[in-house]
Amino acid sequence: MKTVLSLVAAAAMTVSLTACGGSESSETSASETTTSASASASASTSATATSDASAGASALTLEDAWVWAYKADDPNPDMSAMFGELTNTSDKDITLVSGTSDSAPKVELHEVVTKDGKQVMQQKEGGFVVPAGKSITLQPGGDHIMLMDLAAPMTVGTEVLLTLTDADGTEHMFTGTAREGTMEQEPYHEHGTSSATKDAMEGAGDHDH
Amino acid sequence: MSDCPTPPPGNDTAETPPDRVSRRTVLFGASAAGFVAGAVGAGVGTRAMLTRSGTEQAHAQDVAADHRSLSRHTPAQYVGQVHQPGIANHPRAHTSMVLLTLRPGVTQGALRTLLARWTEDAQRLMVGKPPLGDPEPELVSDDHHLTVTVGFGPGLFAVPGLESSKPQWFKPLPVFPGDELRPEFTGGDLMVQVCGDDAIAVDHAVRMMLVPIGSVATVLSVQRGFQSTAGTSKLPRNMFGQVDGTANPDMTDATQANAVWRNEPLDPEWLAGGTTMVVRRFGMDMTGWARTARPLREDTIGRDLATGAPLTGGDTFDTPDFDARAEHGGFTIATNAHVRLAHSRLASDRILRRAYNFQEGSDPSDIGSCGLLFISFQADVDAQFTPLQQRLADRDMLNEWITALGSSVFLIPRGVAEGEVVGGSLFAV
Repeated sequence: MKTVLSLVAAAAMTVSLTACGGSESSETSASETTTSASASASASTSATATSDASAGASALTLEDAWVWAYKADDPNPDMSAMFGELTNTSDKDITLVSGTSDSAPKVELHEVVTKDGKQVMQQKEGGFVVPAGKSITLQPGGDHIMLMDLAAPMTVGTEVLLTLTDADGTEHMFTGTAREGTMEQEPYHEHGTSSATKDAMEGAGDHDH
Repeated sequence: MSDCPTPPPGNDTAETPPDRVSRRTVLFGASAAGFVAGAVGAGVGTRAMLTRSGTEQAHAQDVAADHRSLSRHTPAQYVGQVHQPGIANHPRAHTSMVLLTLRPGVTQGALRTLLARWTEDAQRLMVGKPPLGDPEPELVSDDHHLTVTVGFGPGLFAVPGLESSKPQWFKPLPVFPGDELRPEFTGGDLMVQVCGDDAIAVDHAVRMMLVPIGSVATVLSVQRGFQSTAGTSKLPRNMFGQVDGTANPDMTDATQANAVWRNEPLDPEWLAGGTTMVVRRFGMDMTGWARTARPLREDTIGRDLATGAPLTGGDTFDTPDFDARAEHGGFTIATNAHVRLAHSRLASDRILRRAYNFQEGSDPSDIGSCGLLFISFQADVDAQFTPLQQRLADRDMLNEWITALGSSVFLIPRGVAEGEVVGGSLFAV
């Protein structure tokens, strides 16, 4: 079953639009509307359109979700990441093992570790375990959802729909909106990224690993 | 205020009328206090606002019952307010105000995206939740009475598509006699004012508000200020020792508050319930003032320095008797005394002073190292502020010791309703 949470709104607080859409355009207003609607709904649990699912019934919530927006000096324009607070409201541990997103051809569950004195990110062996009744925080410099092989840099305001699959095969859906962060991208440990655009490849170049 | 000083909150209120504020007077003193009120609801009147919740109104009434405590109410949220925070509530201990310049080629969409992010983050900051991705969330997690205020300078309307949205009367302030304006403190296309009780929290909040400006704007300057009486019942004083803000309108009184909140049929919707903000940075000649005999300093201000009472007697909040004569036949309050020139005789001419002090250097020969960050809010800049400032610039005795180093004016959009972005309807067309 798929559950959808609107993260965006998430933030429980909500104000409004967080999201607001990307800069220009028509789409913007559309997404704003959506967002604000969900925002005022208050919590993080409002269901979003897309899914089948019994929203609300999900055992996993993602609050304060946000997505890394590309900044001019980021080394990897073909990469982004999603963060937030994952909470397991069930009485069984949930192990997330993979993910997919319409916004990224490739999604990985990453951790950041120190290698040779440097912080690097890499896939997390065994995925993310969210203990029963507990939360884990996905944040820059820590565990996070990596969005890879982007065809174009992630722009501010982009709303990302993410599906995470657990070890039982259950899918959990979340949304988050791209915003500028304060930190630098961590170097990615594996080679090869992508395929994306020429620009992206050039930009990513020697930084990745 | 005449002068400067601010009164204690309490009083101001009512009475008052008259002072014309003069500029310098204004300047200085102002402060705040007077106004204080916190009152959010007061303004009323304005259409947009009418729809917002009754909570604020109820609150305003409570406050009115105890004027002093009233003024001390700081809005606890950015969203869901009739008016933006940081205007009618008692000033907190610290402020940090950012003036920003738009980058060339900025689009409406990019600007709106920034304002949406600011709205979201202002709300989080005011309720004690760090903005998403905050690297130092502990700095703003406690209740520091943070308020955020966002304003638009005349240059904002140069963004393609917004040209026709600028109210025709809105323009940069004139340069007044004696102004020695420094570019970094003058103008600004966007303004963010953060106030709060803790300097670290205020600075951190500003830093977070600046995270998303990247492609839209650059920082012209960050002006910091402090004010010593937040949370107490004492009157604020400026660095010359003057009590500030005595003549502010009582913001809990809807009639008096009309001098501050805009309610003009021709205004765009986003400005109905908003106001205008003047920021004038005054350097103060501390050495020269300290060298001056106290009686001359009091004659300059027209008030007793210890109590802030007019030289014509009474106490702090009493209206000066401008017709009173001294034994030698001249006016007790000189014709070029600050309090006289700064006095607004009509209640509708009064401005809401909310000044902060600054001390940034230790070089006594640099007038810019110490002074007053004069801030005032008024419905009509041309009718209420400019004539006052002109009177002061032309004749105020205090000019010998103060110099304007910065000058800006902003439109302050009305408060943000749930689901809106600050200035929202500006982009809706």
